Formats: sequence, C-alpha cells, structure tokens
Amino acid sequence: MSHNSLLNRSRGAASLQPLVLLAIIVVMIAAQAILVPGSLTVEQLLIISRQASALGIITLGQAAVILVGGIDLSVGATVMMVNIFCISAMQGSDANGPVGLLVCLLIGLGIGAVNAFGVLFLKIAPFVMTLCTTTICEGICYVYTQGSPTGSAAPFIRALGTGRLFGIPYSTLIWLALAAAMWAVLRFTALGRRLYAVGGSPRAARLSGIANVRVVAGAYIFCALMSTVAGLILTGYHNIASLTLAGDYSMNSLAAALIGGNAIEGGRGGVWGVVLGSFFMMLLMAILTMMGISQVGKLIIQGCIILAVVAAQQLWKKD
Amino acid sequence: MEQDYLEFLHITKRFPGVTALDDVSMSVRRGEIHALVGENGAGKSTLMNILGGNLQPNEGELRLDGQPVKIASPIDAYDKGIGFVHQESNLLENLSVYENVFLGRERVLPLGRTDRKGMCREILECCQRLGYQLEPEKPVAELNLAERQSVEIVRALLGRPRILILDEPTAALAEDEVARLFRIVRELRQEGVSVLYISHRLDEIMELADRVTVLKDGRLVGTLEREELDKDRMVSMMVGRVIEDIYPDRSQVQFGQELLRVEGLTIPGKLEQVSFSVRAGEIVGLGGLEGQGQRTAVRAIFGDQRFSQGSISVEDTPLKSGGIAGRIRSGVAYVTHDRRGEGLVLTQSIRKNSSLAALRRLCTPLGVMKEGEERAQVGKQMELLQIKASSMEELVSHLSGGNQQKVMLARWLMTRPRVLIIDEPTKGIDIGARMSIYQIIHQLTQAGIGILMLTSDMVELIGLSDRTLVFYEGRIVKELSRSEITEERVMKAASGMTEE
Repeated sequence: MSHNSLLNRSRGAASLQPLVLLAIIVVMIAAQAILVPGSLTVEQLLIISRQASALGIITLGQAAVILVGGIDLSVGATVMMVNIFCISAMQGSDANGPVGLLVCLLIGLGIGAVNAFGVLFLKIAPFVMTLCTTTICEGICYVYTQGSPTGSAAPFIRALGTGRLFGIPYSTLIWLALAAAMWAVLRFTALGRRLYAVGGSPRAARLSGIANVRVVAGAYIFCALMSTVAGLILTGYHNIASLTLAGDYSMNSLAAALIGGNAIEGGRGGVWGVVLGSFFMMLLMAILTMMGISQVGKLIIQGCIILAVVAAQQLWKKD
Repeated sequence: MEQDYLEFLHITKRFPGVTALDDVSMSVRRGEIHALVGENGAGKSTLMNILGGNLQPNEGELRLDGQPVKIASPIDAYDKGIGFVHQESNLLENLSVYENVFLGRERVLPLGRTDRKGMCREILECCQRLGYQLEPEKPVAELNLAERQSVEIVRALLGRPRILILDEPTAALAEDEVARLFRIVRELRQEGVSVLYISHRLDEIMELADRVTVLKDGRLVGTLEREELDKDRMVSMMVGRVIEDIYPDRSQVQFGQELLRVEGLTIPGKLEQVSFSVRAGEIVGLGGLEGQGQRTAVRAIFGDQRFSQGSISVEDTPLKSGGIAGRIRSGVAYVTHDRRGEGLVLTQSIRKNSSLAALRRLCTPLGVMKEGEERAQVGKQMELLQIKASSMEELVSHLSGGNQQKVMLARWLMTRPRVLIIDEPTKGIDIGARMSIYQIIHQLTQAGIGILMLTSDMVELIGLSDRTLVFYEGRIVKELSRSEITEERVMKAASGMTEE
C-alpha cells in the first residue's frame, strides 16, 4: 500500500508542476501590487502578455523539440533572419506582403530542415548542430545588411505586432491559439502519442513501427516555424530591422520550457506549463523594471529567481 | 583444508518487483573448487555480484576468515583478494590489453609517468605461467572472445586473489581452451585459492568441482559434497519440479496452415541460407548459444535488419520493403528481449504503452485518437493477460518484471498479429509470472497465432517448443521435434558437434 501511495504522489508531481508555477505567478503579482502600489491593472497584465507572446510562441516550438529529446539553440537566429528579410522584402508596403511572408516561410522551413538533416542524418548533437545554424544565420544577416539594417515593416505586420481585438493584443491571441492547438495535438492525436514515445524511448518507438525520423524532423521544423511567427510579431511591434532584436530568445526559451516542467531528457512535459513559464519570465522582467532596478541588476536577480524556481521544482519532485 | 574461508550468511537481495535472493547461506573452503548451479534467474549472478562488490545485500552478511566484511565496491573486492571474471566481457574496447589489466591501479614511476614496460612485463610473466599468448599493447577491440576472457583472468590473477569467481567461463571457449582453463583452475586450487565456478554445463562441473551448491528461484536448495555429485540429482534439484508442471500440455494442439515462411535468408558474415516456416498454432523455438544468428534472423523478419538474399512471406504474401511499420501491418509482431531498453516507454502509463504499436488502428483518418475504444481494448487485454495494476493509467516503470512483460504482450496483441515473435519470453521474471506467460502463449496458439520464440533458457526451449531450430554460426544446424528433443542433443548441435 505504501508502494501505491508513492506512485500516486510521483504521478501527481508532474501534473502539479504547472499549478505550482501558477501559484508562484499569483504570488509575484501580489508582490508587485504591494511593492509598486497602484501598478497592478488589467491593462498592465495585457501588456506583459503581449511582451511575453513572442517568447511564448518560440517556447512552444522549443518545447516540441525538447519533448523529442532534442534542443534548438537557433530560435534566436531564426527570429533575427525573419526580421531582417521580412523588412527587406516588404519595404514598408502591404503590396509586397505575400512575397515577404513567403520569404519568411521559406526561412523557417529551411532552418528547421537543415537542423533536422544535421541531427538525424549527419548524427550531429542537436546542441552543436543548432549552434552552427545560429552562427551561419547570423553571419548571413550581417553580410546582407552590412552591419546596419534599415527599413520598416509593412502596415499589416505592424498591425499584427501592435493591434488588438476587443482590447486583447493580437499577438497574445495568436500565442494562446497556437498553444491551444498544440495542446490538442499532444492530448488527442496519434501524432501526440508518437512525440511523447519518441522522446521517452526512441528505440521502443522505432520497434513499435513509428517513423522516428519524421517525428523528430517535424519537431525541428515546427520549432523553426514558431520562431518565424514570433519573428513577424516582433518585427511588427518594433517596426525596425535590427541585429539585436532577437536577443536571448534561445536561452530564455529553454529556461521557460524547463521552468514549465518539461524534462530536458525528453518524453515528458505539457503545453500549459510552458505558457506559464514564458509569462513568468516576462512578468519577472517587468516587475524588476518597475522597481527601477538597472539592467545589470535585473539579469542577476532574474538568474537567481529562475534558479530558485527550478531548484524548488526539483526538490518538490524528489520529495 | 576443511576450514570455511568464505561464508554467506542469510543473504537477501530484493529488486523492484522480484526477490533475487531469499535467505541464502553457503560457505566456501580454502583451496576448493565450488560450483554454483541453477537455472537462469536462480540468483547465482546476483550472489556473485554481492561478493564482487557490485551489489549490496538488503539483509545478511559476508564473512571472510571468520570476520564479517562489507564489500563496498569492485575495487574494494579486488583489494580484499576477490577476483571476478565476468560472463560478459567488462573490458574497454579502445584501450590496450595492459591498460585494461591495470585500469585504476596503474604502476607509476617517479614524476607520475606510467610504467608501461613494467606493466607489460608483469602481464607477459602471468601469461607464460598460464599458457596464454597475449600482446599487452594490442587494443582489446582486436581480440576475440577467448582472448578477452584471458585478459580478464590475467587481470583477476595479478591481484593475487584468495577467491576467484568465474561466471560461465567456458561459454565462449573451444575445447582446447576449456582444457587449458581447467588446468589453470586446478593449479589455483593447489595454491590454496578458493574458486567459485558458475556454469550451466553439468559435465564440466562433474569433472571439476569439489562441491556444488544449487540455487533455485533465489533460494538455497542445498550443497552437495564431492561423493554425492550426480547429474540427475543436480538437475532435479535445479528444476525442483517435473517439467510438465510449469509448461502447458501441448500434446493435443493442432497446427493449421503455414503462416510464416523464410527462405534462404542470408546476411554475409551473420546469416547463411536460413530457411524455416511457422504454422498456425505452432510454437517454433530458436535455440543455440548467444550470438549465433538467431536474433539477427528474427530482426530481419521484423524489418529491423536488411538482408541481401532470401525471402520472407506471411500467409503466402512476400514481405517487401516498408520497414517495421510494414511488417506490423502484415501481421508480424516482435516482443523484444530488452524490455526496459527498447520495449517500454518507462515514462508512460500502461495504456499508452499498450496502444503504441496499434496507433493506426485506434485513431480516425485525421489522426485523432479514439480514446474510448483505446480504453476498452487495453482494458480487455489487461483482463485477458491478468496484468496487476491499480489502473491502466499506472506508470509501467512501477510494475514488476512479469507485469511489464505482459504489457509488452498487450501492445503486440493489440496489433492483431498472425505471427508473434517473442525474444526471451520470461527473462528476469519470477516463477509465477513465468507460468502465466507460458499459459498465455499456449492460449494464443489455440487462437491460431504462430509463435516464433527465442530463448537462452534450455528448459524453457524444451518445455515450450513444438519444434526447435538450433543455430550455430549463422546457420540452422539442427531441427528437433518435441519427441526428439533432449538437452544433450540441443547442446551438441549448439556447440557445432554432429551426431554420430
């Protein structure tokens, strides 16, 4: 019987992780209300959700790759490339929209396919492969822009980044819609089963007749496409072509996915934890900004708090 | 000479779901060859791994020379004078012979340089004494199995052991190599070394052993003195029951049409002209020593291994490309021998593991899982196979070995196979679960499924197979029907001997 209760607890821990994260977020919001009186409004939370949406969408892709036992460090470079080439192709005009979107789609498919090819056929470790893709993409961006990109986004892309529907930012809606779609796929479809199985035990999946290559390649391509969508949203929001806009998305998306309860070794994790993980990261930044802490100080505190959350989750799991 | 040098007192070792050793006590005298026998899974290796410091017992103690000792690790065992020659080579392939022999205890010169010459010299001296011809600087990757074993023996002996454990030492050896090993073992006895000798080969034991201890299902059956040694007596102690007791009675089984036909299957260097067939309701057993091509053959049948020549057909339909998924659609199923490594997805539930190979059957054309139907089918299999779990949502990693094996069977039965390949049907599971799996296999044949079984357990092979094919060096060298089969005939064929 003691054996049984142990089972229930360990099974519970995995599904509890997002709830623990949700509780932490609620505590943080309460702390914000106390530390910076009057700052807590619905509008402010919506703004944070908009700021979190790009990271959130990238993290969905990252989560899919982690789920099959991989890792994708090239998401930031994908965002950068989409930003530069989207603006370059559209030249600030809606008329060039279809061409620009096609270019972005090809960039996403291309990077995803190259990553998958390297990992699956050249058998390069995902960490190294996607790092190589990153360097190559960044190099292309520097050469193409000669170090000083110019131009602005087409109006419809601007609307994508800044517009709202019933007061809710488009980008937040896109984020949540994509999350819901991914959740449905993981929860209800055979493809979802295959993703978990390949991540949990690639050899068992293969011997059960699953085409591991297709599943893993699909995850990398999905991840690159999510980064493409995030790149478009960021381009619309900032309305500039920039070599620094992509920032730390690779590391932050990894952190958000792991905070959200996805196991780095693959095979375990869900969508809503990842969504909360991204929101948590952005909320933390926003609160630190509101408290008037310098950029450097923010990074230190951010690192410490992420460490504390992950450590707490580890302790909770082992309990 | 009659003094007990090593004593095991009330040793109990439990693994999740199975008790490997249950209150085992035995003693070994100075300068004796003490054989340890028992079926697969009887606990011999577990007991030796406790002595070798690889495992710690849950209860009980070890005594050396009357003093209680705790052996914390293999290094600790070596330092205490316990040498262990493992059944499967434990060497690092990309290091040379001398680097392996002195791994972790390199001879060091001043300034921290390793004393390569000194180490090689020691090895050569030892080899000379034993009659081995080893080149100390050769990489282990270039050695054959017998040479690798001699490296292990040299490594063990350079530690000047008081106790030497030999786990199935003759499995990979030719006849003259066996004779040399026996001579070495006898010399060690002369020098006062206690040799613990594990083997399945009773003839060897009759020839070599001073005393024999028999284990069965993790319990001590008894220790026989030299004058009491008798093959039949050992067998009955090992088996402890008449074979018919645990195996289903298959005398009344009727075979149907031919389901699987393999013709001229050839993979250069691995398989040569392998041909056989399996009929509906038949259990065909593949026997032989490890690595003689049996597993390669079934992997080829399952689409996991390319073959250059030959054909495989199921119900007269030739199987072409299409890999594993194609084979599953054609009605072939394969239960692997490596349940935890390549069978189960340990992070997932019984339900998700069970439906993994049948996802296509359980989803709509758009790929949405029909969960209601899935639950109904998994529930049916759990009932049929008597899988003991709190619910189908329980993680498979929490089940006992026997129940895990049943989940593997459930997965493959859900694909509605015509031919079921089972690789080591009862590896590492306790006797109760084994009997229940034999019963299940028997029932499946009554439902018209053809079974192809691989097993390294001789008693299982004889007890279950309607027809046995013995492999040797990639070929089928012997076919034995139920009425013809004996342990001796299988063993002879398996070691490449022809019958007079």
